[in-house]
Amino acid sequence: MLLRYGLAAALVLPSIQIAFQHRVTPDARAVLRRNILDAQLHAMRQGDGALSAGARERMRSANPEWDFMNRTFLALALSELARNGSGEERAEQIAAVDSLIEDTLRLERDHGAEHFLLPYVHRRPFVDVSGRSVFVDGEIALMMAVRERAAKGAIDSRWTGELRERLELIRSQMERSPTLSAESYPDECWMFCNSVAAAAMSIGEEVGAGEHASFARRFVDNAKQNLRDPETGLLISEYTLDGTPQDGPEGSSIYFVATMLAEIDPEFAADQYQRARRELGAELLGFGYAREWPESWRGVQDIDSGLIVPGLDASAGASGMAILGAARFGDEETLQDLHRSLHLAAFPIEEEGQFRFAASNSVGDAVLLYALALEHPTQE
Amino acid sequence: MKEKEEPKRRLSPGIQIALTIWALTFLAHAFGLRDFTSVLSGTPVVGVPQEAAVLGGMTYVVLWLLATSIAPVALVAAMLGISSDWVRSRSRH
Repeated sequence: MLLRYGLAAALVLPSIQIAFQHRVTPDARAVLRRNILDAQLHAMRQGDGALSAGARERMRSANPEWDFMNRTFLALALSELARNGSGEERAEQIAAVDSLIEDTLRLERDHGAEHFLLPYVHRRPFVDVSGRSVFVDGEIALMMAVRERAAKGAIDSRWTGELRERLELIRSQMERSPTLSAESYPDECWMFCNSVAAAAMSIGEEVGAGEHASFARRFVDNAKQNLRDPETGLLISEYTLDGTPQDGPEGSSIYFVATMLAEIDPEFAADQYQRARRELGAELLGFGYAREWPESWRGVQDIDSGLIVPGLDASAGASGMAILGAARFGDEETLQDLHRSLHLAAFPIEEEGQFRFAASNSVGDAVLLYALALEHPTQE
Repeated sequence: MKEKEEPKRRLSPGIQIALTIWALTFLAHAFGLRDFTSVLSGTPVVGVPQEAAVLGGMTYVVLWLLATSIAPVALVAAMLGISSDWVRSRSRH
């Protein structure tokens, strides 16, 4: 009997991936891109231009950052699609990004940047005199920067002035610290947020919103020298303003960090992706996933990692970001493996004509949309 | 003379395992536990306490993975058993 079960397992288990193969081809991913885009735009229309109230409140109850990040990733996705699009569709995508930015600025004005931050931001004051969070400033700047780049040459510039002001605020904050970094929370610098700010600076210079690209390169050079995990060579995820490491490399951030750093130092960014793939990526019977931490560093399960599957150490947060990294760096094999896992374990649903993944949320779907949008090569 | 009783036909263990797993998975799906899988990404389920949501979500995930991996293995193992029994019975004749 043991032999029979062994033989059956040898036949069946390696074949399961075949059942999902039709969902992971480039053509299938193009269909998925359309489905998620339609769902995200539908949610925006329901919410009068931003996110539907239901989706927003559900995410905010877990983490107000997700509401904010949904906006950023959706803006990134729409801008990337607009860069490669034309005509009416491009104009609609740019208009949708404008709507996201307007709504985000309105909430910032009405409720303060704390509206998008976790409550512990109030536990102590920021170290820097500005008292500002680069998590909020950086992502708003990035939304404006990618919008301007996507619209360049076709649609009127709209945010260059505000982008210039915000980048100057961010830069002065970063320059005051020994790590050329800014706080996201009091005395917490996150590589995720600082790489977003640096990418916004680099893109900002392209669109005429100041000359900060050389500073962005200085930030990256400093990070290379001083903010890497010595075991893996991966950038660490969190440190204090003076550069004391607080958290090692994390899957839920490094893939996106590499994507942002590709705007500044493509060679280093590609190196970080390859290291992340080696240290965090895994595959089982054709199904790919990512771990939250490398073997050399064990962190704590948190809101960013999501549930960690015991045994496999698989993290939904890291795996979603790994899709983004694989798309950005053209790693088709890994991309297909990860998409197989997505369709196996994220439970795609179509309800009332709208598509979503049950195991994900709106920000997760927006991250996936950005990854799918990146698969379009730029036509520049 | 007492008639020889026909042995009761029973489903092979492999088929029983496969059908049980698929039935439980169907029930979990029918009870809406698929929506509880949002806990995998840390997203709460509206109106459901966190512990219940995690339990429901993980139950669905485990059943789904069993249904897509172990159940087919059990079924194929049962088919292999049935095939080998048939071949053996043919060779005896």
